[in-house]
Parts: sequence; C-alpha cells; structure tokens
Amino acid sequence: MFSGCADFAQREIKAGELTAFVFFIDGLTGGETVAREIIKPLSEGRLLSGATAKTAPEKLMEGGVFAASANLRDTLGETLSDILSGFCAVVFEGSGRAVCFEARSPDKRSVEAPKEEKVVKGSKDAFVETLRTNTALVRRKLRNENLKIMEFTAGSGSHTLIALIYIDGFTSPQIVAEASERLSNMEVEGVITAAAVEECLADQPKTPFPQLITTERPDKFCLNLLEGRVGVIADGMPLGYLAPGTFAQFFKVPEDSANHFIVGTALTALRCAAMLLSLLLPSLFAAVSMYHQEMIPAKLLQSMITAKQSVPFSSPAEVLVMLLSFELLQEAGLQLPNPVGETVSIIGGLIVGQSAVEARIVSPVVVIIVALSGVAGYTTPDQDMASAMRLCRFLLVFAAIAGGVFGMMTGLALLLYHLCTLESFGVPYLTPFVGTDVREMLRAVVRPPIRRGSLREKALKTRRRWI
Amino acid sequence: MKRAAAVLAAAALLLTGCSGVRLKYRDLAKLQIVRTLAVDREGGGVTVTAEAGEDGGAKIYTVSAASFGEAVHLMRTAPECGDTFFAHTEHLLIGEAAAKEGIEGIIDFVVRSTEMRMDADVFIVRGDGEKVLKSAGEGGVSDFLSFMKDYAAREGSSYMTDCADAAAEIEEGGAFLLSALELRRSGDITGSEALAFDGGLAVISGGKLQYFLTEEEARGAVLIENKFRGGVVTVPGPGGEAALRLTAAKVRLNPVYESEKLVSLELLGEMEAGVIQAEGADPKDAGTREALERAAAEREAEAILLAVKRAQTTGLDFLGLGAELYRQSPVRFTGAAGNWEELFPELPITVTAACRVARTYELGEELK
Repeated sequence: MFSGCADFAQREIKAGELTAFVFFIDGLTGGETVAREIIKPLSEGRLLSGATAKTAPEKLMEGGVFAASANLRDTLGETLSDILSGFCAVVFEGSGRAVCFEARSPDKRSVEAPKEEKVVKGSKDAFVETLRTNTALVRRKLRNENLKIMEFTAGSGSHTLIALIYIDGFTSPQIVAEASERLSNMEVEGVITAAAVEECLADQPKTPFPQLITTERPDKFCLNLLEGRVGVIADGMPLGYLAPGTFAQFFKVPEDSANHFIVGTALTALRCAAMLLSLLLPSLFAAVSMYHQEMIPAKLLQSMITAKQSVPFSSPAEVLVMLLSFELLQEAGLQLPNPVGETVSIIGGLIVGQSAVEARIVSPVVVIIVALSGVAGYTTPDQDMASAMRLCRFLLVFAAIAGGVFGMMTGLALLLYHLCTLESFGVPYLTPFVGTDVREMLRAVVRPPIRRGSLREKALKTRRRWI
Repeated sequence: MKRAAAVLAAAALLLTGCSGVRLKYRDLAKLQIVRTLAVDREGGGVTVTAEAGEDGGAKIYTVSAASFGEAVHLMRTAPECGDTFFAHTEHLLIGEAAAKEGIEGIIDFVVRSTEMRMDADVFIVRGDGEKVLKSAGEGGVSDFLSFMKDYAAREGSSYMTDCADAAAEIEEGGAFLLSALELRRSGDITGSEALAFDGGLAVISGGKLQYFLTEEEARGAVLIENKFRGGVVTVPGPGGEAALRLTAAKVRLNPVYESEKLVSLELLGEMEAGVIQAEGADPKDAGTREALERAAAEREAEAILLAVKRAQTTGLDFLGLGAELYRQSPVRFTGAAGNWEELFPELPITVTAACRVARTYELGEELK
C-alpha cells in the first residue's frame, strides 16, 4: 500500500507508553499543521497517560488534538479514503483502529472574480477547484438551514468527491432522487474533466446540446437553486452544474436579474434574436443567393451582383470557406496563450476579412454575413450551447445549399424535432415552449419586477411555486 | 413509435407541393436584373425590350416573337441576354399600339408568372415603349420612372396602378384608368436629351386602350376618384398670379332620385389649400383669401367637369361613378339607374367645388 508513493509520509512516535504511527499525504495534508496540531500533543505524553492501545483512539476522539474534524475508522478502506482526502491518520500499535484528523493543506487557489462569465453588476466571486470552498460560497449566499449538501464519491480511479446541493422544500424530491441515483451510479475512471460529470448526468449524452447548466458564478448557481433546481459541484473543478437544464435557461444570465426588469427583458429578447440570427443568417444567405434571389431587395441584389462579378468562387463555396475560416480563427485564439491568441485573432481577422475582399477572393457581403452571424453567436452566454448552435449553423448551411429555403426549413424542422425529443431529469428540454401556458412562455423572455414576485417553472414541479 | 411518427410527418411534407418545385441554381454573378420591361406591337408580332442593370451601366435587350410569352421566354434563354431575372421588374411599359390590341394577355402573363411580381407599375406609353427605354442611354430610365411615381402622386396629375390592380379591373369589366407616359424631346427637361415624362392617364375599356386624357382631364379624374395627394395650382389673384398648394381634396357624390329614378348627379368638391405665393395681395386679408378660394374652387371644378364630360361623351364610366353610387345604396341604385351604361351619357351631372385657404405659410402665422 502506497509503495512507490513519494508523497506518502509516515512517522512513528512515542505517545507516552504507546507507539503511534502517523500517516498522511504530503501536499494534500499540511505538514506544519500535522506537526503542530497532532504530533506535538501526542508526543508530550500527558494526553494519553493511563491509556492502552485499545482505549487510546477513543481518548483521542474526546479531545486533546486540535483538529476541528476527526473520524474514528475501523476499516482500512475508510482510513485510506480519509488519507486521500487530506486527513492525517493516527494508528496505535495493537489497536486495530485509526483516528483520522482533518489537516488539509491550506495551499489552494483563492476565490477570484469570474473569468469566463462577465460580471457587471453582481458579486465578483467565482468557484475554485476546492469543493469545500465552493460549498462555503453557496452557503454564504443561501443562509438557509434547508440547503442540503449530499456528498458522493465518483470515479473508480480518481475517487473524486461530488456534492449534490438543493434546497429542501423548494426542489422536487423526484429530481433530487434522480440526481442522487445518477451520481451514485457514475461509472467513470476519473472525474477530471467537466465532460465526465456532464455526460454521466445528462439524459442523452449523444446530443451536442447541453442538458446541464454550467456556471462558475455562485450567484447564478444560487439563483437556480432558489428556482428549484439541483446543483452539483465536483472537487477539482471550478464549476457548478445545475439540473434540469432547459433550452431557455441557457440564454439567461444573472445580470438580467441585476438590471431593471425592462432592461433585463430587452437584453434577454436581444440574446434570443441574436441566437436566431447566428443560427439562420448564413443558411438563409446561401439559400437566397443561390435559389431565391427574388427575396433580396433590387438595390441590394444589384450591389451584390456587382461585387460578386469579380469573385471567382460560387456563393456556397464562399459561405462555407468563410465560416470555416471563422471557426479556425476562433479555435486558434482559444488554443494559444491570451496575448498571442488576441494577436492571431486580429491578424487573422484582417487577412480573412479585409485582404480577402481586397484580393476579390470573397464578396464583402459574405464577410458581413459571416461576421454578423459570428458576433451574434457570441451573445449566447453558455459556451456549450454556443458550440451546439455553431454546429447546427453548418448543418443548416449544407441543407440550404442542397435545397434552398425548403432545405433550410426542413433542417430547422428536424432540429426542432430533435430538441423536442430531449429531456433533462424528466423535464422537456423546450420547456416552457412546448406547453400551452402562454404566460409561462412569456416568462422565458420577460423578467417580471422582483417586488411582484415570480413563479417557478411549472415543469420543475417545485413544492412552492411562488418565489 | 416516435420514429414512425417522424417519418410520417416528413412524408407529409410531400403533400405541400414543395417536392414538385425544381430548384434552379442561378449564379449571382451572371444575373441581369430587369427593372423595366416594355412591350410593343410591330406588324403581327410583339417586341419586348428590357432594361437591366443599374444606373450608369444599364443594358437594353430587345427580343421579338409572335407573342409576349414567347418573347419573354426567348429573352430568358438567349445567350446574348445573359441570365435575365424578372423578379424585380418594377415597371411594365405597354406601347400604344400594343395597348390598343389589348393589355389583357400581357397583364395575365405577368400575374400568373412565378418569377414576375404583381406589384410592377403599369404605364401606357404614347408611342413605343422601346423608345422610352432607349431614350435614357446608359443612365437607364428605371430610377426616373420610380421618381415619377412619387411625382405624380405629389402633383395630383396621375396615379399608379400595379399589375395586380390592373388584372382586377380587367376582371371586373368596365372602363378604368392607367398611368400614361409621354416621351418629350430635349428642352422640356433641363439637362436631359430626351426623357419619358408624366403623360396623365389612359382610359382602358374592354381590356384595350381607348384614348388618353388631357392633363386637366386627368387632374379632374384623380380628384373624382379621391386619389388626390396634393399639388400646386396657379390661379388669378386680386393683385396678380397666386399659387396655392392643395393639401387635401375630396369629392362627394350626391345622387338625386325622383320616383325611384336617378334623375341627376351632383359632384361636390371640397378642398383645403395654403397660399404659397400671392403677388400684389395680402393673403391674410379676408377679401384676398375669399378671392383665392373662389378661384381655386373654380379651377378644380372645371377640371372635374372636363373629366366628367369626357367620360359622358365617350360613354365610358372610367371614373367609377356608377360603382360608387352602387356602393352608396346598392338596392336603390340598381332599381333607379336601370341600364347604367345607357343612362350615364345622358345623366345631368353638375359640379360644385369649395376651397378653404387654411394657411398662408407666413412667419408668425397662427396655425389653425
């Protein structure tokens, strides 16, 4: 056990008449804390005076060692699990039991402002890689005794701690039970990447559309808990997952609630319009420029023709090449370190845009269409949803090239059909648009004034509907 | 089950008729956008002339064939015409000879065409349509015709009718009016060698051109049909010439029935105007205003009367008086008018008009 583990530390000490062994993982457990809080009191001998190897563990549990948390373990498995979680195990020779004291290393990333999700008018803290810090961030915002945190260990190789968080009394017990079952039955080697949690918890992992809302912002996490969702936080990931994730939720940001309700509503509507623009504009352009030129106003068509006459490629080729170039630039910008990535984006943008137009390789209108579509796509707050939309954008362009507006509409109908088949924790993905309640549908876009109170989504089957 | 439902739903798409539509890829770079189409009749055939392209680079294509449909088809397929694209045809010019032969076939073709639009404005040309297109040179005539649409509405001398409305009028039967064009030589319009210009209105009956109205008759017809949008009239004032901008005009029909018979018809014109120029007179003076109002009313009454007389003498109710009286009182009119086509030429029609000067456009004037 632990042979070949350079970071595994063990020390034999004399505790009065008894011989004790101290075990811990260096780095996970703070060496200084172990020395000061555990080894020092034990070595002084007074603590265990008169105790035998059998009674020493109980005596230690009664006090004497300055650790906030201690577990008395009877099995090797439990002890190992504690040691791997940053505990320090003390075993007395001949006792057959171990006392595990919490002495986690204080080395961790401090709570910082969110980097991926911009905050304009909200709390400037973000989840970090430490589970307990993250649960504390949630607790700080929801000082509610009904906020429940259940812990699971997942990953046969990584033994990662995962917390299931919900507010008892708000969240539907069925959703809690379902989430709990899925977390218990996670069959993965390691919970190291975000996708491991997502794919294990999602109803249909094959679809590119996200079924769990991910956020690095505790305020967004808490807002969703209040709405009746369950949250999941995995140790080692600076992210919180929220379920059920419905389509409309991926276009909301906490700023909607932070702003005036009219501004919040307008911004949500803008994001929805931008999503449609991003998804449909390139395919609509391809369809219209190839087959349905009568849909383009005469003056615009004439200027498009004039620009197109000096371009050697066909309209569909132009659209596809430009879309691919845009994706390449984006990917290059993401993979490179920040300053270099920005440079690549600027240079690439200039080359692909201005130079390509000047060299008459592409028409200016295609550059405008692709750029507009790309920029509109950036308004989608959730990156997973934005990626899925980008994928669909390509598919719709192919459909439009093949069948014009008819092909595009067929593609759109198939996309809608696919979305209709999705569910997240028993909640239809297109909730509330698939129901008959018009007010529910409006609430997906319209943010009512906070003073008036608002209703939780009916599909979440919360115990109390009014917030 | 879900898959089967999806397949059935997808199969239902075939019922929409979309499956039968063959998509035709058209290279944007090769398109020749036709903005104005002229139809003339020469000998036994039809000549179709199209103006394609934009300002400064307008191209003219001419094709002759036995019929309008065949000519358009030839224009679509002839290599020298390029890929002519008719979906943005804004103006349809029908030459005088072709219009006299009948416009029904032409309008019908446009309305039924899957490519051409029904909102293309129809003009009847005094002379040949081809000459109008060729008169403008590289600059093209399309923009000028679009401008004329606004100009005619602003001046109250004409109005536009699109292919859809023309088709509806033909379908209803009876006489109706279409906008007319006249080619005027250089000197008429400064800076232009030769341009197509507003030519008032043309009377169509039985789907054929009957005659053109004079400028004054056209003004009267526009007033009677309540399609007047504004215009300027020059009238003799107390101190010299005065110009009035007519801002609103309405003509009401007042039929006189006696013993269930329509014995006469009174046309009451009401106009509102503003004085924009009054030489040698103070427009704020009550006497001056009254004189100007009277002069403007007389002028407009005269135009209305001219239009009515022309309609009565030719026996063509292109002003739609019968239809309007029917709308007012269907049962009474049907019983009292008997055969309207016979009654109309003989019906005593009187015209009275009143004009109110509402503004003088002088600084400090109190708005009413």
